Amino acid sequence: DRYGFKKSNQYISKAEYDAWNTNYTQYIERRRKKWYALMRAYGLMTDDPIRFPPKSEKVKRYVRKGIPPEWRGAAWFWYAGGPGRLARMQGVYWELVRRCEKPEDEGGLNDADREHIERDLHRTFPDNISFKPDPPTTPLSSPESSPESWPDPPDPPILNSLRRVLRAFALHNPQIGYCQSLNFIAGLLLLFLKSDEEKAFILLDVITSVHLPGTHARVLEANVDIGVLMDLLREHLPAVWNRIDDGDPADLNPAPGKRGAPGLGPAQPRLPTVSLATTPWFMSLFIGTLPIESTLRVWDSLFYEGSKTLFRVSLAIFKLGEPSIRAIEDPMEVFQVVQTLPRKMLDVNMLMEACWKRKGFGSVNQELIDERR
Amino acid sequence: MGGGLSKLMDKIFGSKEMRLLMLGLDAAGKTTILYNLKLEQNVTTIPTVGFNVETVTYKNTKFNVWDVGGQDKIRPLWRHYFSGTQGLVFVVDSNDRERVEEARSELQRIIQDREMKDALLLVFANKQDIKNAMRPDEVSRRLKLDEIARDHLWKVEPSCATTGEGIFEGLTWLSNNVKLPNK
Repeated sequence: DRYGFKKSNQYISKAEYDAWNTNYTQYIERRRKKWYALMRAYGLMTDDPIRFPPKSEKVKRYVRKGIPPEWRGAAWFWYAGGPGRLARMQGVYWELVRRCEKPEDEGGLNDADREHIERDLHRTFPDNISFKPDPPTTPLSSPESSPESWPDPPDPPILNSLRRVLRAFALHNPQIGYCQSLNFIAGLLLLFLKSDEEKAFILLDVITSVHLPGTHARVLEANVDIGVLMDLLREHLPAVWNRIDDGDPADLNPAPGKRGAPGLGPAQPRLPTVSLATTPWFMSLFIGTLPIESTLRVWDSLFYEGSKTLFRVSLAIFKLGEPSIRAIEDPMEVFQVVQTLPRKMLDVNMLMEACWKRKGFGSVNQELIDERR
Repeated sequence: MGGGLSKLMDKIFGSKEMRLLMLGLDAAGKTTILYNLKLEQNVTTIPTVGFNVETVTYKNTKFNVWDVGGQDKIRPLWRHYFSGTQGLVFVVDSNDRERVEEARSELQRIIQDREMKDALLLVFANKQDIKNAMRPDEVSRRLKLDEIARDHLWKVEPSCATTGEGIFEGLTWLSNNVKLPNK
């Protein structure tokens, strides 16, 4: 596709993609023209811009309808307050990269994180053209050598960048270190920031400290966001909630010994089993959950408006999926349906409309989210 | 057909449901096995953040398979959802001799968990297509199954997730040995 990903997968066929893409390509073109006009109105350059219009109702609407793909990374960086952070953290990233080379006892990165990063590196977007190693070229000089004796193809440049960013991040944030899913987030950032590692590092820092505090920490708090989402679901979509709520009433008054498994800390209200399907919605910011274009549109609003976007989008997924969820007969299928729903949601305009327009989700504002966390 | 009647039919014809939990070190091949089961084809997989869950029906048994993400730090979030698991499928990269000890301690921790006390244990000695991979007997020896799984019914099945070899054999063993819940 236009970002180097495969068009079809096990959830979306090539025909479905093509049918959607024809109109969507025109849509992008129309939005691009509008953005050009907007930028000119503010006297900003349109050739590889780094500055964008100040926040306003109008600009918010423009962002919600999608930032032109070629400006995306720069706009994310701008609206997330990247330039200010970069100024405060001048040189920090490259200093960290240098420190990563040292052994652990001299202030370098610990072996565990180093190993985990290495293991996931080649499994980050293996289907994307930028992340794929160059196919080995047949060595002409030694015709007798077998394919097995060829050296592994060198890593593509973006993987080397990804390695440095993840290592520097782990060193900079010892309370997080490396956590699976950061590889995807950082990878997508690099793809759209034209491999500017320093900016990707800054945005990764913004995501993990501002938008998803605690989610990736060594002691994971991802359940906090999921709990908030489940509360919202109960309030806004009771019909869906009733179908997925499988909380054992006995759990509310646990028998001695039933709760408090080692390492779980204080007892917390049990969430419906299905809520686990939403873990990657937060941890990976919808990468791998929604089709790529839909993911990018969510990110547009995330960086502009903040983490309430994640909750609104999640509610919209449940809203659009309500008929499928209500049609389930075997409770065993619920998890699978909720897990599969978003992977088919190619029509991002419909998703975003369900997200903003439906009265009700508008009340899911940032103050509410922050308070409930 | 009403739920009650179909349940009765299931009883007569021996169709059953079985909940499986699939675990193993990261990159052992869990997701590949899952999708080979589900789609009977090889798909490119990426590290699993959270779960993949699929339901597969094979030989009268409906398997509800939970493929649990590899990185250990993510797991404590959901360990208390494991109760009621009838089978633990533990996937080992048979070509990774360096981490087999890590796999053993991981398996030991899981299998000795209270929630797992009645579960069958199926170990896939995966990646058998690689030339120097450990054979099933070496895998069971290195995992010390005689010792750590002595309270469980267990089996090591050689497999190759990318071609699907061994996977249905493993399921058949689970299906033949599962105890139906007393109801």
